[in-house]
Amino acid sequence: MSDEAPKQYKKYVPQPEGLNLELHKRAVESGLLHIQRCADCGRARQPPRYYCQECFSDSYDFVPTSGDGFIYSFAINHFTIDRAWIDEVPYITAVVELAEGPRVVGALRNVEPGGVALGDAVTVSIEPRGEDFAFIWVDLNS
Amino acid sequence: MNISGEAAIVGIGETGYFRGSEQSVPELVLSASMEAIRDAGLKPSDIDAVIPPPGYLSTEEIAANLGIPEVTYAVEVRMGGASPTASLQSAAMALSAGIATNVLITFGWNGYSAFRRRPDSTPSKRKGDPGPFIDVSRNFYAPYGVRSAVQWYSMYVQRYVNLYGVGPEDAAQVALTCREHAHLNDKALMAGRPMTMDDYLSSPFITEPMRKLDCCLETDCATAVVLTTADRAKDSPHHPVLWLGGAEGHPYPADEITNRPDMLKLGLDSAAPRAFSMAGVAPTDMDFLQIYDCFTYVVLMELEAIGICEKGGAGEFVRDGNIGLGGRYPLNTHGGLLSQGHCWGFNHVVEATRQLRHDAGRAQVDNCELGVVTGYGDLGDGSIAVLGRG
Repeated sequence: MSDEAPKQYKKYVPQPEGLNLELHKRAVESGLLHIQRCADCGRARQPPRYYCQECFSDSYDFVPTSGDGFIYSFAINHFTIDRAWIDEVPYITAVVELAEGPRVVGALRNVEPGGVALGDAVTVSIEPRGEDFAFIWVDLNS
Repeated sequence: MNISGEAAIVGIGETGYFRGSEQSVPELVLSASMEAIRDAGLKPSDIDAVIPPPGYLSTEEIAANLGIPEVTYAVEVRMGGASPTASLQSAAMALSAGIATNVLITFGWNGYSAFRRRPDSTPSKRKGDPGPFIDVSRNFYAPYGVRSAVQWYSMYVQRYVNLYGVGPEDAAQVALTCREHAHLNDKALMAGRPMTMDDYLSSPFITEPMRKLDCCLETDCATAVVLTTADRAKDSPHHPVLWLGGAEGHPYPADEITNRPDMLKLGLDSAAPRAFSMAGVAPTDMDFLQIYDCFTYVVLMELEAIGICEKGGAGEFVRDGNIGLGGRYPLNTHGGLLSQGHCWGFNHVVEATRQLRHDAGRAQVDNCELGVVTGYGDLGDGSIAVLGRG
């Protein structure tokens, strides 16, 4: 018998590069979810891209979002190959359409399977994990 | 320019389907390849183009090991499970343009052993292709514990079932039909292992709404096909199977699921009309359907994408007795990825060829003349081939 503690698996934190890093840096620094926006036509987009899909401009900035959105789709994970998430099954991954237009993927918390439906109003927030990554939380509006 | 009917499948090869093979990926791929070349009545030195399984074995390695001295065309198709059927299009282009005379396409992998290694074995240094969408998946999905195909696809399957009222009994029809057909195929992993509706409904959720029995089988296997020009095919040992039309389609953006204007539009939605137009036939002319069945719900979405039923109509279509042998459109007559085994869907092409040769044994669709094969992979890429008896 080993008297070592059971191995703890840490949740994966990506090391974003390029545009993704710019996006996360702005979120971590401000504490607010940001989104990339075309500096010419104003169209918001996610994930960050080098050219605007609407007007093909390469000028952009990152702007804070309201955090308001609704459930566009979701996945209810009863099984995972990610050891760091095993203790949390069933966990729900939300696809949220933001008021600004783009959709983001985040972790829906404090909701049981069956407690969420397409169109439900939600609020999105971020939690900095390290200096380069902003984890996205999703909460149902009560 | 229409290259419909200019290329023909003249050789097929297929290893067994294993959950834990003694053979390495190169051994499996080379053995299926040699079988296909011999089946075509050819020698390796007759082959001058090779399309290999990306990440597992290169054209150069296949040529060196089999004895293919002159390669005039080598290309890799990187669309995950949509690659094999899309490769038929690439082969038809090379053949009709006179760039190649005999094309070998092969796919194979250790889809079981790579994940469930035997305790006494050494892991292979060969790794699969991480996929053309790796930057998005590792930055925007993986941090949320979303790392596997069933989870990625659930993001649109959940929306699909909610918008169209698709239920588990609909998806079950696909699983049960593939299992019935597997019993007719000695090479099917699930031959002789019955499945009932109760088995299906008591199967645990993996990523809701998908249950364990909605998911295909982790498999070690390889398959191969040889194509030549329609003219040369007349001299081949078997009845030629003509490539009448085909296409590939990529959803936009292909590397990210959630920001597609319509998340339910798959690559196959744009590819299928092009393929049927090239072939000059309609989906309703098909005598059988070999539909890429990584997951049952994806099959339902594909049936709608190819236009054999309306959007939202696949549930009714599969409940109405269409897809079993003896039905109007027998589906996955070999058992599919769900119950034969997962060979990237190239086993669908092998089975379609057997059917159109009228050599499909107990699963033969009587007097079939036309059939369709689909591919699906990565984050919703699609491919399709319309095949006909020459």
